[in-house]
Amino acid sequence: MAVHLRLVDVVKRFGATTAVDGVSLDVEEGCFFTLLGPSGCGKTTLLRVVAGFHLPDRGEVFLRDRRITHLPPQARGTAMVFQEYALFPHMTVEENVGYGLRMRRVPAGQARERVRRVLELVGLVGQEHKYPHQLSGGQQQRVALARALVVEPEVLLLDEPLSNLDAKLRLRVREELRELQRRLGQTTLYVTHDQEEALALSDRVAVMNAGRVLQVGTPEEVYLRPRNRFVAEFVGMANFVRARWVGPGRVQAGGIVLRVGEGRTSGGDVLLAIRPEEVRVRTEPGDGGPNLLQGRVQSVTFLGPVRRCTVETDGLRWVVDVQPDVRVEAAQEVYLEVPPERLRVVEEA
Amino acid sequence: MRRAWLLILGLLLVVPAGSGAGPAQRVVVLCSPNPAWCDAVKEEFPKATGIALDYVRLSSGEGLARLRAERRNPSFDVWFGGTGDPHMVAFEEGLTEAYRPRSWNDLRPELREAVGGKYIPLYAGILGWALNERVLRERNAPVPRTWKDLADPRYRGLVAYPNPNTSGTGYTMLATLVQLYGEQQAFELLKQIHRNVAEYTRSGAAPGQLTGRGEVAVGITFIHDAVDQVLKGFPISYGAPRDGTGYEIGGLSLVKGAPNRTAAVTFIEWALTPEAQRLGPERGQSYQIPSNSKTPIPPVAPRFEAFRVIKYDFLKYGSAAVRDRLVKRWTDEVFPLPK
Amino acid sequence: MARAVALPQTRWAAQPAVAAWAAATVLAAAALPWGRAGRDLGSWLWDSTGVVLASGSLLAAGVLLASFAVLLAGLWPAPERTRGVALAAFGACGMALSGLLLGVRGTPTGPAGVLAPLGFLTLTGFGLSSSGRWFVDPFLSAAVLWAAAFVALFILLPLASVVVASVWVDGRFTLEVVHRTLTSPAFLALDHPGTPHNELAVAAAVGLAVAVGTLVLGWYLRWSRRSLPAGGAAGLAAAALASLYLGFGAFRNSLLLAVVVGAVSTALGFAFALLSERSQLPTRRLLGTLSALPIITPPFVLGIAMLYLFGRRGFVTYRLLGVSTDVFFGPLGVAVAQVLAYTPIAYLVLVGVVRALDASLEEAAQTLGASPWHLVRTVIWPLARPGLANAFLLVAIESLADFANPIVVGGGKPFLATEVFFAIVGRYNPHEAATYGAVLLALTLTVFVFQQRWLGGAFYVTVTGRPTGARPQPLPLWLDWALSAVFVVWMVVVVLLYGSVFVGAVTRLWGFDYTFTLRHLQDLHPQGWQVLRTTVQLSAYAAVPSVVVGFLIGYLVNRVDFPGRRALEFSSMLSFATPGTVMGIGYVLAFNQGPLLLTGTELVIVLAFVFRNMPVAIRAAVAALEQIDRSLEEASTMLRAGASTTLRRVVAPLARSALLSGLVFAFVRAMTAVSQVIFLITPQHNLATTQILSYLEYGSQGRGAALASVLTLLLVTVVASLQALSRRLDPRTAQLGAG
Repeated sequence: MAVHLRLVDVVKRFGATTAVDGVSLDVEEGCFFTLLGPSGCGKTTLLRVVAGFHLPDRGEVFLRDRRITHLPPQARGTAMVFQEYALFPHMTVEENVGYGLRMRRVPAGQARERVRRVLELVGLVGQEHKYPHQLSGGQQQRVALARALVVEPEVLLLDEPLSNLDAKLRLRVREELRELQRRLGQTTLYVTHDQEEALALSDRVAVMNAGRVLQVGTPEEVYLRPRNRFVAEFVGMANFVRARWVGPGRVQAGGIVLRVGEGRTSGGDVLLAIRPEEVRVRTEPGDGGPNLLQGRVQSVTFLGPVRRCTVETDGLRWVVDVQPDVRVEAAQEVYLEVPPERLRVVEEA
Repeated sequence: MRRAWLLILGLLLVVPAGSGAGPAQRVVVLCSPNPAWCDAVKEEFPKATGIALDYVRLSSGEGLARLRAERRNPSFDVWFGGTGDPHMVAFEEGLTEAYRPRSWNDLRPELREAVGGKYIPLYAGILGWALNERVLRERNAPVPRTWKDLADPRYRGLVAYPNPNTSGTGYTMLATLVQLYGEQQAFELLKQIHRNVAEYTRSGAAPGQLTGRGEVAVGITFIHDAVDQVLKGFPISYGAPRDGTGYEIGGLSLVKGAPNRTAAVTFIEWALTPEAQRLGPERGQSYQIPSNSKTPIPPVAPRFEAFRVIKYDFLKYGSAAVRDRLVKRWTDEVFPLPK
Repeated sequence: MARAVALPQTRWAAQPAVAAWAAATVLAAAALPWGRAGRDLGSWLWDSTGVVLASGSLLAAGVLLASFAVLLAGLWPAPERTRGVALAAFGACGMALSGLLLGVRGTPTGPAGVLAPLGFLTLTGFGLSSSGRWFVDPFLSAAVLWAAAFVALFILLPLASVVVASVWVDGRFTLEVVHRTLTSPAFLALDHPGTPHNELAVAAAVGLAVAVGTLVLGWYLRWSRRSLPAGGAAGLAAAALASLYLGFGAFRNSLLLAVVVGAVSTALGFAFALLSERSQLPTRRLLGTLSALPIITPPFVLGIAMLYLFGRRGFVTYRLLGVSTDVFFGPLGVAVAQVLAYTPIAYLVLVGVVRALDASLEEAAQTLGASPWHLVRTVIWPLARPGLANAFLLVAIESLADFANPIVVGGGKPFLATEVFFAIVGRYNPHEAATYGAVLLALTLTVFVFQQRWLGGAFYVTVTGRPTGARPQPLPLWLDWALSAVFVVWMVVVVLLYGSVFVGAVTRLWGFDYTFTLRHLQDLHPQGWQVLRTTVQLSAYAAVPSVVVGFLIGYLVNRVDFPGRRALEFSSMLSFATPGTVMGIGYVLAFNQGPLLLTGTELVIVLAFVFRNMPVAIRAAVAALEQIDRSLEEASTMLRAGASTTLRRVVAPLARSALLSGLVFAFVRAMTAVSQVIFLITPQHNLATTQILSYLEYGSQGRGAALASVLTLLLVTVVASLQALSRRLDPRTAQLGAG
């Protein structure tokens, strides 16, 4: 697919702090692309560079083959949904949504038709004449989305649009958003700090920290094959094991030797990561197998879908998830089965 | 909502727009007498001639300052009223021009001669004081008889004197004292009087009012202003020092380079007619001796015969050099003294 | 999907605007006259159009050339950034050449001399924006240049003229006038030769005594380390105050007055603020009117009412109390009038401070065992101190700048603000006036800078709702009663004062004959009514531009990042801190000759109003903008609205009530202005305030009172009806508050 939005080596500084530090990204046509990272990682700044609110100190922004780095926001063909929605409080839903069309001098009749269509799309028919404060949070969010979509933007920019919704509603709107984006084939750049949201929505995710992009990939890639410690830790939970190569596919950690799926044998230290749900817990040693470790449960927390336990084995601490119907109690002896193919080598970052 | 805004904007624009048009011809007057007189002139002149009139009231000192400031682009056509000295200074400095009205020969000859044709006499008024005898009695102070009496400490805080910087009246007293006693002695006397002055007023009429209201007991002023206070019902009397007093010849001048010269000339001719001069006493609360000998002297006007009036040298003390020097000296030597 | 590829470089939204401005600039430069025949704004010299001038003047030809170049640059299909650079360069060139042309011609400026430079300026702004050098919307970049030009021309130039005029006499630099003025005893005499004793020595003795006293007290109270500096400071302060008290001259009078009035007003304001927040007595409800009073009081009213009531034949002093005194003539009278006028200002500042005193802090201190005295010393005082200092400095500035009260009740004593006036109208010595003006300016600016730096410049206080939280503790009952008694006395005095003016308007002769009459009101015909109408007219003309310019500057300094932002903000607030008489003389000096000849026209009065009252609108704008989330503007921008559209469609509607109150304030302040326009009034454009002064001085007290009453009633009506209107506007915007 064609690259729709391209960032090349973008740097943005505010005084002494560097908010975005040399980011290059390609967003393909029709792609739902998410910038994921903790607050202060520069993801919103990057979004605002794309929107045109910040002039980057270095680097370029391209929309297809058009260089838009120096264009003002209104000349870019992007549209944005703000975190707080930024609905004009003195305008009705219809006026809010029609605002962009009015700015584009779309004839009134045509504009009304487009507004109606987009309101239909987001399920707000019948609310045209209400003011924003008369709407619920979810409805406000949809108005904001409709207002951005109605102008048929090249790239839709969303800045944590779900963060003001309560948990239940967030799930629902998330689904709707995803479905809508697919249906329209709308190239979308989405900013969030919520990894679950990122994984659920995106075609591609860029994990950011401290102004840099650490990894770009599909949600699966990012979750299952995190490139470094930060990504592994930020996207989901992870156990980290500091170890040393002792042979092909074998490492030594603490007092035990573990087998690793990856066949590298280069010497020296290595950091391994495995997610809590990937470690299997048994109460009996069973038939053994590779990487079967004996340990003692330190604590158990009931989380609903899973029970999260801390287990200590020979000087290593593991966080593992077990099914709630498996009864595990503190101080119990258990066996951990660590699948070698899931023990991934990650970079220290 | 939108309508409310339009309404406000509309009001802002429409209300003021009402005052646009007026008669084609107009004359702009710098008016120095009592504003009531100015008001009356503003009302009557258009009735008589069909020419509209605008005025700014400035006391004569301020008027002179204003004409000087606008030397290159005068906005006034005529200077109406006010003590004569500033009119004379204005003429010397080329701010006004000599204009000989048709009614020149009707004007009182003694006034005509005293000003040497440098401006047109409009009226004459005698310098004196307004006295509030009740306040004097309260303070056990006698009625003053001479200028020197005013130096008596019993009058402390009881005298009001117009500041010669801004007021022609104030300057007339200063010049009168200099002519009576010689400059050195006059200033010594002024320094002594200074201790008794409650207030230096900006305009020459104010001391009369202060006396009328009982703020002070002796207000140095032109007697006709005191008469005005008496007629308004204030319990005061008036008088003049027995050792001699000065007088003023109120002026009427055509501003040089007047933007509306024709209308200005019409105004001057009108202002000298008995009908116009009657406005002063009748409507303008001003009781001077009118300059046109055909105008009846108002019965209440103070007359020369009743007081000991010195032969005031208008040509000398009206000149810019003398006037500026005396005023400056007063400002530096007398005004800042502690009381 | 081809829609995006079609444009290698996007077209500007502003391009038609560029072409239109360029065309207008060409038209103005070529076909409109550059000169006027005289003062009259309509007296255009049609033989001074650019086309005519170009044949004889290289400069005029250059200006024309620049305007064509700008037009060409605007229409040429060049890449955006190249076009921008060209526009900016040619525009700046055109600006410079037009300025030179006007300067060289030296005659009053005609329409081309206004429109062409404005056009060049705007295009320079557009150019800078599209050159990519400056990442700002074209409208905003032009607006920044406009604002800078206006502020430079109508605030900085007049002030600079004042300073220059004091040292530039008859075409050469000299310190003679400054020296002569500053050494004159009328300016300042600390040790007057006319008195038997040496005032400085007495002051020094007082200072020494206070210093020693403080030291002894310090020793007694065992502030071992602090007593020495404290003693020194107290001694110095006492010596300074004593020498001011004993001294003479305008400088002394003004400064002493400012200190005394500042202290008294702040104390009273604080007391009333405490009452309004913490009183349990019913008098509390009356405090609301307090804040409205200074807005609707025309100058001179308080002063003249004081003489009515407290003069030697005053109604209160003489009729009721039977005393005959003239103590209210002179500085004391001025001080009382100023305290009455400025206590509400201190109150408005301090009511916010008292409101912000968190009741839970006091509760916390009390649970920790603090006695009431400790509470005041350790919690309330430190928290209130910056607010008190702020109120003091604000009142001090107002007092220094006050012109109306000293001239009416000053007893002819010199004050800085009135000496500026007398120097120019009485002695016609603009250089001396400028010297006084420069001194006054230096004084107020010192206070102003101090206030801005130290206290963060809360020049106006927006009265907001009470924050939710712990209910503040009521005042102790005895204090409540005592303060309420003070307030009641204050209120009675104020009612009497205002009442006496209204009564004075319909009685025959105040003090002697209290018979009812309508004669004074009838006598307002024709002059009084005409003056009133002119005042309304010019104030209305000025109100809208004040708000528009003020709001724009407020928006720029609050939302746009550009070099010189702080400087622009400071310079525009400067006109507020500058005493009116100084600004007035500045206008006379700057606009009395050459291309900028404006004196004697109504325009110069309107301009004086606009730039004098603009800071009010700036503050209102800033306060309103703080309530509007930036993302609203960004949303509008993203939807392809230019900055001007965003301002018009999003910001202005949301700031509606702030704009409205800015409009009212600008109008009312113009209606009551006197000091800055007293030099500028013309026969056709006399103003109500100066007319009142002239009635008062000429003994037409009744007529003056009548005009003042009508003016006051008019102001009350305007303020009240617009307040009602804004209440009607408000509820909707209020609940829409959150973005």
